This record gives sequence, C-alpha cells and structure tokens, in this order.
Amino acid sequence: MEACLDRYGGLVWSLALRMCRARDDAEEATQEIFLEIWRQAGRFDEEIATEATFIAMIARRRLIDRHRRSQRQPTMVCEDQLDGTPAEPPVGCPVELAEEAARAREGLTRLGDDERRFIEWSVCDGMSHAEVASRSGQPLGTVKSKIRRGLIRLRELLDPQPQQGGVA
Amino acid sequence: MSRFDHQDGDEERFDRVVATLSGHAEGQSAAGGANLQDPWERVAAEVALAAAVEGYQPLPESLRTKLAIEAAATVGATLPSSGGAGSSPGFDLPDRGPGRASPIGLPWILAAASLLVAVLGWMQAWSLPFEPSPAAARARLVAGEGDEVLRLPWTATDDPAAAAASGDVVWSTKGQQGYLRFRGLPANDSRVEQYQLWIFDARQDERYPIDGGVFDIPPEGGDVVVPIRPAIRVAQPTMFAVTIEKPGGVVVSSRERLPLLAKVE
Repeated sequence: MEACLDRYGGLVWSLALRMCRARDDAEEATQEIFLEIWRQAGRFDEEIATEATFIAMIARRRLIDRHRRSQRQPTMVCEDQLDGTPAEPPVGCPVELAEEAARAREGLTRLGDDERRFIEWSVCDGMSHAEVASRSGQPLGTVKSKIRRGLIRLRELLDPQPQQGGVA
Repeated sequence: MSRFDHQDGDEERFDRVVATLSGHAEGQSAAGGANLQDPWERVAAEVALAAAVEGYQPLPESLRTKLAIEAAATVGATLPSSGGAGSSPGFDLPDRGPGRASPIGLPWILAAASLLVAVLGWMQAWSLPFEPSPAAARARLVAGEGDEVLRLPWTATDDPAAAAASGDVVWSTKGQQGYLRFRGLPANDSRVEQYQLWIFDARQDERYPIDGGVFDIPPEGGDVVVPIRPAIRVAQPTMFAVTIEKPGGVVVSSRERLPLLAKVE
C-alpha cells in the first residue's frame, strides 16, 4: 500500500490535476482512484500490461467518469505543454515511471502534431470529436480521421499483439 | 498495408471506440473498472501515462497521509480474499492464484497503517509544544541563512485588497522554506474565499506557476506570518504572487484578483 502510493501517487495526482477544475476536486478524485486501485488490484495481469499502465488505466477511466458526471470541461492544465514534441519529464518524476512512459512518449513523437494533440484531448481530457473539432477549428471529418489514424498508429507501436484486420 | 487498416464499416465502429474512450458513447455507463483486455484502453492508458509524466507533480505529503489512512480503513472491507489472476500493483495482497507473486498479506497492510496512525498521533502529541511559531521560524531563517535568503517586499496592485497591504517574502531555495509576512491585508472569510500563493520559477513555464498553498488572514490585525508550502521543489524563483480564490484554492488561477506581487530583481 505504502509502496503503491510512493510509486504511483504522483502519476495519479498529476492526471487528476490535469483533468480537475480545482485542487479540492483533484484531491477527491485521487482518493476515489486509489480506492478503485485497491479494489481492482486482483485484476492486474503483468503479462498484459505494466503496473503503471494499469494504474493509468484506472485513473483515466475514473477521471473521465467524473468528467461525464460533472458535465464540465476540465481545466486544461497541461494542454499546451503537450503540443509539439513531448517534453522531457520534469524534475521530481520517479525514474522508473519516466522509463515506463518513455515508450508511449516515443510513440507520440511519431505522430503528426494534430494527431497527437487530438488524441490527448480525446483520451486524456474527455473531449468528444465535436469538441475537438470546435476547439481546433478543423472540420469534424478531419478530426475523426486524424484521431483514427493516430490511434491505429499508436496501437501498432505500443500494443503490437496479433490482431485480425479491422477494428477490435 | 497496416494490419489495422479499416474495412467497410470500420470508420463508424472506430468512432464508437473513440467515443467510448473519451466517455461520450451513447448509453455508456460509468466505466469504473479497468479492462486490461481492451487494447484501445491500454493504448489510451499509455497516452495518459505519458501525459502524467510530462506534467508530473509529486503527491502532496498531506494527501499521501490521508490516502494511507483511508486505504487502511477500506482495504480490508473491499479486497476479495481469494481468486483472480493477477499480482498486485506496488503492494502485496493475499495470494490470488498459482504461479504468481506470493505476497505478504492483508494483516501487514493493516498493521502498517495502524503504525502510521500511531506515529502520526505521537508526532502530533509531542512535536507541537516544541514547534516554533511561524514568526519565530521566519526570524530564525532570516538570521541564520545570510545572503542565500531572498527577502522581497510586496508590491501592491490596484486590487482593493491591496490598498493598505504591505509586508515581505522570505525564501531560502537551499532550505526550500520561506515565509510570507503581511500587514494590512484584509481578513478573509474562508467559507467564501481564500488567499493563494503562487511561485514563478525560471525553470517552469510561467503560465503554470508553482502552487505555494492557500492561507487565511485572521481578523485580529497586526503582522501575519504564513509558512510557504510549495507543491513541488522551487528551483529558481522569479516572482511570488498572491491571488484570491475560492475556498481550497485552484489548480490554475484566472488571476482575476491578484493583490500582491514580489519580484526577484
């Protein structure tokens, strides 16, 4: 439990700060996420994903759910930081976590700027296609195809398990 | 050709995948759980992981303590006692199946949490009488650290709260500690609004200053000294700013009300 907080507390907190409007919301979300982690610990399978990915998955899902419930736009704390080439991890980020994220960061660098930005808005900030289109000023069809293309490329890079053709 | 190149009808299905990932699918119920079997969820989680690392903020110590205590109270009631296939992230749980990590078990978790509560109680009981007041600690910092300590006077803005306000900031980057001193800053009703400190750091994007903590000004008047509690390490401060925010503070300030500034010259 203590080790989990030490290893992944910052990961969950950073995601909560990104997606919550206020600090007290972020604190509440972090508490909710860790309770979910304790509950779901038994479903973790190290053969499918790393611990960090599992934790990020629970956190992302919880935060998206909170966003839906509140029907509010999240405060885009890091939105502009994520434009362009992904930056180096800030000082203070545990080395192991930075290493685990390196693969995803590397994958993101292989996408076009729009693809990367739109995917982050969609899966990190819970924005719909229409919201991404409105925010970016690009046509809905263009947004959809860029997200689609980017995610497919990311999956090839990050999750290269044998698949049938088409969408899983 | 990519093995994920889509077939007829895939675009529509893919749009539903994205809608689900972003929480906008029709009829979607609160997901709650993490579906490790879903490759798109895994990809989305990795994107989130990269985003978290890029904007990394350490878990505040006060929140960490709260989580540890709450977890100790909750874990026993919520964790299944057997079954399942996984080893457990970052902490050990009762063994869940053959061939996987064999952990130390729930009693250890509860014992550790109980010990934590006991230690916290002991610290509170024994440390408070010996803890210097913020004013005394500030004086000690000013006296002991020589030229290394920054001492910056507040500059008032045209915000009404700053009309009669003065004071200074004392900060030691080496010691990562400091104090705000105010005179004439209006008392706040903490149910309505609170003051919040922001620290601009040369090594951080100035759009995202470091949260230095929220604080209240009591109605008694006189000098008020407030410890600085930065959320992360301050490397090279360039400016300290006080804003007025909703109770509990905010993650990103609109800076609509910013009564006081102290710049490092």
